[in-house]
Amino acid sequence: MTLAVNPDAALCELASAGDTKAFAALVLLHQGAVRNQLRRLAQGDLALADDLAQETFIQAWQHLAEFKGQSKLASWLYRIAYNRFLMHRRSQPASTANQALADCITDPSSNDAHRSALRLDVTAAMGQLPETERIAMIHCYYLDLTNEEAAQVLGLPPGTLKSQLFRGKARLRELLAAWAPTT
Amino acid sequence: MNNEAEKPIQGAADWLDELLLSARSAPVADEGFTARVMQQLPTRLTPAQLQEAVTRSQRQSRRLEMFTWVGAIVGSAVAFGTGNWLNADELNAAIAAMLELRPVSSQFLAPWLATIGSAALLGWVLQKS
Repeated sequence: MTLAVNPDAALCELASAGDTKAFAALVLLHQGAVRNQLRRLAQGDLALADDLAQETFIQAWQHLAEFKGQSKLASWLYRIAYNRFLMHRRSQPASTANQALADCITDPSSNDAHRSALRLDVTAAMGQLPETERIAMIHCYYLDLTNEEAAQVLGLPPGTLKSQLFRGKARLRELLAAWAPTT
Repeated sequence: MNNEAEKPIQGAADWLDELLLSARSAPVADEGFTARVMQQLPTRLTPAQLQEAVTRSQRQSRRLEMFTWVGAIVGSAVAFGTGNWLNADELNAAIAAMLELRPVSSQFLAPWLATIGSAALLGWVLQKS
């Protein structure tokens, strides 16, 4: 049994053959990451993020046989989710929901005042970035992706992603200067 | 970012990197999400069922093609039987008239309409069945 070596590969194989229990296990394994990605992309609109996440997993179920294991399953799911988000954005105006507010509601550790304040400031600063830079930052800092993987998910050349990260970080440095360590 | 070597701004101790990483939110709890997805999951064809559907579709396509040919041949035979085929000069004149959007004689159109009509009718009957 290869389950212990690579649970994704074994579960994918079973799910591709129509095993719904294996697919449920895959959803359980990856729902947190995909919903986190979509919550950040949707800027805290939890209902929208969950709707898109649901569509993402349904699409994954329908096309699982096309996943050849050339990338991580998580990256493949992120790519589907990002495309669902883009499709939604084309048909609907941008959400005005607040990520920080959503985080405070859903994060059990939000009673930690320092951490909550930090999260609020970071979220507010991220909200001021141009969308392309914000999306690049989300994928590289919050989703455990390497630059190369993030570029694949976003369908960008690695150089473009790096430029977006560079500009995003430069802007964040200014916006979050109050959090910089004093020397 | 889990790959320090790939950071566009060098310096593992970059305060901004640390700040952003420490501002990550807690993992999203499932809270029934997986169950909701599984309820919405459409039934998917197994590879065997998929193969069967493809075979059925190919068979139908071949039947449609066969009936179209039969229709065309029958239609042509019917048209030929009427003896209304044009000679080469008449045919050229009729085509020229058609290209110039002038009226075309029914003697030219009848056999072709009969051919196309027969093929379409047989195709339609096949689709219905």
